[in-house]
Amino acid sequence: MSGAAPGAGPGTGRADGKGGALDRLVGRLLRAGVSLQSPILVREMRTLLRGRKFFVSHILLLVVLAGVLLIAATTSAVTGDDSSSVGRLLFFAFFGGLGVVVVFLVPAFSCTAVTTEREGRTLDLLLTTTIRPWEIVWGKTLSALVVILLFMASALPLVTVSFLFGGISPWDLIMMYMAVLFVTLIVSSLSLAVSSHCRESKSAVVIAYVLTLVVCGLLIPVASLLMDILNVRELTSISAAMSMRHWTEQALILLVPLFLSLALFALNFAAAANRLKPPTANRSTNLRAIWFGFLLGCLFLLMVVTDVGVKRGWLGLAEWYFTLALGLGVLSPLLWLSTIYFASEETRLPPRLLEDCERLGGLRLPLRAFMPGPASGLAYAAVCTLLIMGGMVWFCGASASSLDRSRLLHAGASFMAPVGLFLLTSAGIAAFFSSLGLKHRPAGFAAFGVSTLLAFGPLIHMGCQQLTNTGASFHTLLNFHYLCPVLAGMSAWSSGAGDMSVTLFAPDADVMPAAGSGMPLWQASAIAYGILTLLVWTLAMVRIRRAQARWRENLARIAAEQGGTGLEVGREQIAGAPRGTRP
Amino acid sequence: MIRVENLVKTYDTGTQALRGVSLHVREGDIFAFIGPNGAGKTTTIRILATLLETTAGRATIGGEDVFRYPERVRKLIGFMPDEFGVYPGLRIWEYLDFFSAAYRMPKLERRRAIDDVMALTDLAPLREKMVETLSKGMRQRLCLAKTLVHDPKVLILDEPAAGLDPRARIEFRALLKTLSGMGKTIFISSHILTELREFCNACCIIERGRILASGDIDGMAERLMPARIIVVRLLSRAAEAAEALAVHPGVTASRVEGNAVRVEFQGVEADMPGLMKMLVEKGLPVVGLEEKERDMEALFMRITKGELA
Repeated sequence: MSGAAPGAGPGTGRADGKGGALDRLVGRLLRAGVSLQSPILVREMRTLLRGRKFFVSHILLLVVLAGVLLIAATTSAVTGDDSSSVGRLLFFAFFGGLGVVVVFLVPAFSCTAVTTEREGRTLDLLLTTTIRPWEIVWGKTLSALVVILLFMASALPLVTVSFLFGGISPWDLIMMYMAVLFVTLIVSSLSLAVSSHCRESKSAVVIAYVLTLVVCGLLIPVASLLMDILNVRELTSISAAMSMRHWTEQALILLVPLFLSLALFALNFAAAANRLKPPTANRSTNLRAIWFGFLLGCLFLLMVVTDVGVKRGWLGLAEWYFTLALGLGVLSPLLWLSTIYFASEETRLPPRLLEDCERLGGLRLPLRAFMPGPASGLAYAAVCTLLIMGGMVWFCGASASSLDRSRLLHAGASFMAPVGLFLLTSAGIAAFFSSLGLKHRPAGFAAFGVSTLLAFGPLIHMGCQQLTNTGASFHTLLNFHYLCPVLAGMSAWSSGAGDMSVTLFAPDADVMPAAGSGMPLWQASAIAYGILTLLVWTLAMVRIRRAQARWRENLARIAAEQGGTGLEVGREQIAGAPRGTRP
Repeated sequence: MIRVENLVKTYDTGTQALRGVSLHVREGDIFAFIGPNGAGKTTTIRILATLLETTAGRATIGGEDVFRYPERVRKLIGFMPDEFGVYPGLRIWEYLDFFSAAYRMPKLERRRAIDDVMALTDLAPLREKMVETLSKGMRQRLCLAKTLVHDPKVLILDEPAAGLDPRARIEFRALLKTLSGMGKTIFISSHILTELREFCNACCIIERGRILASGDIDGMAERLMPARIIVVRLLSRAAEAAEALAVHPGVTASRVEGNAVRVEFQGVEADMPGLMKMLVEKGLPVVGLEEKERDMEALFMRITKGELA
């Protein structure tokens, strides 16, 4: 039984020979853990395959899956469909069942992977070895993958039943199996990230399941988009439907889910591994880089999808507009949350990181945006907002040749200006809270709360007025709806010809000022957020600079104090020792 | 080998665990790190084991900065925490194989290393036993074997003898002596003090995050407890002997305990025959004269006196 570990087999010893550079490279790759030779995997498989739990649950799930197929088969037999549609029904019932199994089984398997080590007091033993954090996460991901692979392999006979009825090609099977594997990758890495951040298994289980359901829920629009591209309205052979489409569409259908799942996997993976790094290590740069790549990729894909859609004719003007609005609607909150997250990082950095930051110097600002800390978090926010928002504006004008370009450009700018500046303000608020000495999480939550209040407070205010309908009460005195960037941005979109406008502090103004009078809402919003951004950024930067100077001073003082060997009896140095360096 | 300078650790909760700890462990030392519960022992050790960040201060092991290059330090040290678990569902050799693989040892080397450490820790007969069936003492040994599997230069052991029965403790001590003989530097924390003296050659005492005393064990004993405790056993006339001793030069206190007198004597070993001679000249029936060992426990009690919360 001990040899039952998959992956413990071939693949070693290739680097031992005195072969050429290629051989050495292969050896290095193998040693780097690209191979399946992960000690974590070997250990987990040994434990798993010895236990009875795995076999019992495995067989139970197979029985359930077979039951689902049986029900599907009998119901379709009763309704008297033709043979190939019965085959397709069975096929999709099988993968529906398999999907549910993955979504419910994998988190259960992965989300306790790190917490049980933490609770069982084995994590310290593992972390003090020279194994790399990412190797730990990779090993644990692999073991989840192996479990699902074993399950899929043993469920293969079940799905072959659908081939007896026809209507399905082997390509469909391969594609669906790949899809299930990618979902497994996403879900297991997500659960691992949760696990490595949680202290207890109990909370890890809850959070992992909630997040899994949220992510799967978010992937549904993507799936429906792909179905739209394929123009699939009923159960059909995917490979057959695909072969009918233009190659650009085929590429998109493959590229979009591939990109999304790989990006999600990379993010979760980095988040999980970061937590297992030594306490003084850089836990930010990889996440910033991946997240930035993810946002850029999303932007790019959005452009390509709309472009191809318009050219191939399955995106009309209204749908084009809708896709763009959807893209903006998804990207903006992501950008918002991420800039808050990165700008709320702690002011006090370990000396090694400080040196790394300083080595980059002030000149290479874009690179510096990827270094940890709230100051670079602000830079990161600026870079992201400029690139992504700017890209959108450019796209609005440039890509749609058949559409009214100037109107689109106007619509784009009027959305981007308030929203982009709002993002910068939020990042500034987060950096400010961080410079007050708050830790990462509290600073992030505080900034999130304040900026939410800024953005959606006006909406709530408006809602209250609608409810009470008090007309020109003193609530309308402070007509601050321009502080809601979404409202301001949308105002230019919804009313085609005339922008909604705002009269600042007009005592008699209604909830919505009359069109055409005063300053357009989006401009007022942009100006307000521009001023706020400047204010908050200056405040935050001054405080951060001061805190960093203080921290450096402390380091210097400690270095100067290092004189004694610590061998004197009853030495009393404590009075001079620096206290916590938090400002 | 280990150099710690001005280590300060303030936890997020505001607890000041370390308030400027400095210590120096030479290569080949067996260094005892002694302190009451909550003194900051485990905090210091976890910082040295690269598991915890410091608020201020510096620490190097084998010349490598613990905070700057934790990866290099991990290669140098073998760490045994005070509380640890085992991975269930593994045999002993598999358990050790896992850790040697985690230390990136090649497969062939791994087998040899496992055999070596199992022989050293007397685990060889239990090779195929499942780890979760092991007793506490055996687990302790297994953890030590895991700590040794990559042949580290420095062993950092956090209360390794806690909770062991006397036999296991004695065996453990012998094992540590063997390891020290192999040239390893051993940093061992404990509050079981009586046993440490005979095999540690340096120690430091920590309380409430401060080092109270550190240095050679013998030198420290001389400095901190200048008075020797001498017990003079007599057949009778103990009270008379006590009176005579009390006025003898160098004696600071004497007390009758049954048929013996307990004397606090401030003098070197060469002065002791004089004491004996005086008693014999007075015709007192002296049976024997015995010096009480100045053990770590007494030392500890003396230094931490009055500062215990």
